[in-house]
Amino acid sequence: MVANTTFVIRASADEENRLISADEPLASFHRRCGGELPGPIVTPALLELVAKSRAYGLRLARAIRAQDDREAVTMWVEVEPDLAEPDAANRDIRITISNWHAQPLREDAATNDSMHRVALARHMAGLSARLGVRQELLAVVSEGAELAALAARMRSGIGQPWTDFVTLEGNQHRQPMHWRLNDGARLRLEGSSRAWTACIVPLGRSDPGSAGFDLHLVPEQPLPEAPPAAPATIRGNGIGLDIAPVLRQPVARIIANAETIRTQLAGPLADEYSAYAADIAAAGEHLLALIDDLATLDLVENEDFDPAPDQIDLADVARRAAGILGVRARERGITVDVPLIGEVVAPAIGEFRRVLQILLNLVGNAIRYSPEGGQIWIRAETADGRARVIVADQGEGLDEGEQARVFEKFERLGRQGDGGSGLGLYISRRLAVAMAGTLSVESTKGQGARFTLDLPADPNA
Amino acid sequence: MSEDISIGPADNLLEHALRTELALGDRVIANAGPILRQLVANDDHSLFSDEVIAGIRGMVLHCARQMLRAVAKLLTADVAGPPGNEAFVENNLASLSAPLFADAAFLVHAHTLVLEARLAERLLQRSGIDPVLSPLMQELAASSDTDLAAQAMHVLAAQARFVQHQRRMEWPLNELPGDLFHKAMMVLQTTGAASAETLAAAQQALRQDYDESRRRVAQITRLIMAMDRTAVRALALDHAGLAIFVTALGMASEQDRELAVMALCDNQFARLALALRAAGLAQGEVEKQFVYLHPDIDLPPGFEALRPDRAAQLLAMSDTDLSA
Repeated sequence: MVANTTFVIRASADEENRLISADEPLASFHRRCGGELPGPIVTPALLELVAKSRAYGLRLARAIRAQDDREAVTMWVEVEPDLAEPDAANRDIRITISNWHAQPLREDAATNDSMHRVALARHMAGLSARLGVRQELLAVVSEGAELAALAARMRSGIGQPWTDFVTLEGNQHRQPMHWRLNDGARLRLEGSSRAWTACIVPLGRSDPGSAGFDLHLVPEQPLPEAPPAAPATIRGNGIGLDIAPVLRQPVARIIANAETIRTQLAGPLADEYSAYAADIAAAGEHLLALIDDLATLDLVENEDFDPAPDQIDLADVARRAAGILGVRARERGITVDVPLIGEVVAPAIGEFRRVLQILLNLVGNAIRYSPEGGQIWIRAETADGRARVIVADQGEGLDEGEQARVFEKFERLGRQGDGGSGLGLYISRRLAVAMAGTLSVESTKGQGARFTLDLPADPNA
Repeated sequence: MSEDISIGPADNLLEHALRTELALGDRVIANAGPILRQLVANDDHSLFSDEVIAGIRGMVLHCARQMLRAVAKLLTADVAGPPGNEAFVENNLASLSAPLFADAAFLVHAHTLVLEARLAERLLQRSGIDPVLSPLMQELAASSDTDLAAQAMHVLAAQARFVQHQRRMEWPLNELPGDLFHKAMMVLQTTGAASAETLAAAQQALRQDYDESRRRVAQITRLIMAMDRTAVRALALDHAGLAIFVTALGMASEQDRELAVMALCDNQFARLALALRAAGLAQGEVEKQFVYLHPDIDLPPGFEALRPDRAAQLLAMSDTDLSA
């Protein structure tokens, strides 16, 4: 008995790598994958082979795997450029396929990957729609203001193809094309400057798409953070009030992640790595403080900076500052001696938040530069229409030259590596001056330092 | 922090060049140890024995010679010398082969062919597995399916030629994969061996003559595909012979054939075991293949529980790039 099992599928492609003719079953497979005949080759491996054969001017032969939604096909493909045509770019390519083996797709292999993709798309979608079998709109859901106008327009156009409402990139075909070709397409949307991707999920059990589709429009970039409504008069020096919030977020994330590593929340680590993470976190904290300082610097250097005056009690503000920094003081064994409640009041006019900021800075410095186990005194008083609060420490003190320089911008008095930015006292003094007050220092080298914040007293107290 | 502020742009250029050179030198020195270790531990399973290196050299030179002969054919006798005179070929051999020797993809492909031939030789001596006429080939060549039988005869002839070529350290241009062939043509065009027009004409003639489907590996691949449901029998080394076995292994485990050849070498037990499992072989079959290739190696305990799809995933995770 003589049998002949090899049947050969012939096809051809033109100079634009479009499939011009194809025998069955290639023709059906091509159409099932969303191709037209004649039309562009939709099987990526075949397209690559045809393009390569043209570019090389060579007869090539490869085994190719391809799949549509129901079967996986392996085939032996031989391609041959029409070498009689002298211009390589104009050559037709003859395609000969043998050993066409189609196997039904394994359910899990086909769906596992796409399930993850669809779950992600559902989660990220800025706009989702239910489509009918002809990809016409049936219902539209969108969240957020960005696509609200588009969603409204789509809702008033129910029954029209969804592609009428978007701009598909690089698309010159009549829409709607086969869903498989639109799936994953990049597009532009009205009202959004971002690039979007379409994710189309076919519905229907036996034949995908027979029960319509779910459409998810997924943004390719996250929404840019809304810029803070900055006053028009802010000058552009320093770090800028508009940059600070942008910087703060990533730095905060660095700190949080470094802390996670340091505390070994995600699993045990070698000690040195944990220590590195602690360094990262500490550096991050420093950076964050610096950002805050620079942002405030921008604020206080602005001519229009105008604190909102309150009636405040300097003794009360001092107690709060000492309370906030109490832990840090105790860590170093330092006692902070503050006026007790009811012992003394120093009513003054100033913005509570800003005065607290100044006192936090003064007390923080005192703690930082006092010897371990030392003492810090905070006294409040009123005299001659002025209210005063004095912070005295037992640190090294400042000589006259240093006293003259200590309130200057970025002045560190030769100190390094202690986490300071050299901005705290400069900012504090600017704040004090803006509230019609003064900030001054008295000190002798080796005798500690006394910083005095002087504000107008509250005449109504 | 930056300490080269005071250095001018010229010095910077010099420094940059020196640094680059230094880094290159560092790499050579760093690699010298491992390479030497490989070369010195030169038992006959080695990937880099003298014989293997000589084989690769011979194959690449043979490629270059064929290209130069195609050029010489187009030259007049006063340039190329009388017919049969190889002076033109030998004079230009060094300049044409140098860029081929520098091409990793070229070398790697030649390497796998040499390794395949040596392994086939060893299997013949040790286990009597014929590199050309295996039981499977005999069976297919006698098939009542005329197409299948004809295809088998093509493979038989191609395989016989391969064995012969390997013994002579030859590499016919038409046996190159399409991409390498194209690369070789581009290299030919850029040598100054003859005028650009002559080189283009020689190239054109060679391209006309090339047909990837006539390559040995293409013939084998096509034969395996034609076997259809019985293709699993190609995954038995003793039954199919090395060439068909390794092609089928690559296809079934979705790896390049080159990687599949590498998987058969020493120190690649994991790749081999995973590839066999990914191809769907049962435990007993995997063990049987190991007996031929690595008689002294036992599969790790628990291997029988590894599922084929998981094995394929593990393989896909190894991101070996042979020509990197």
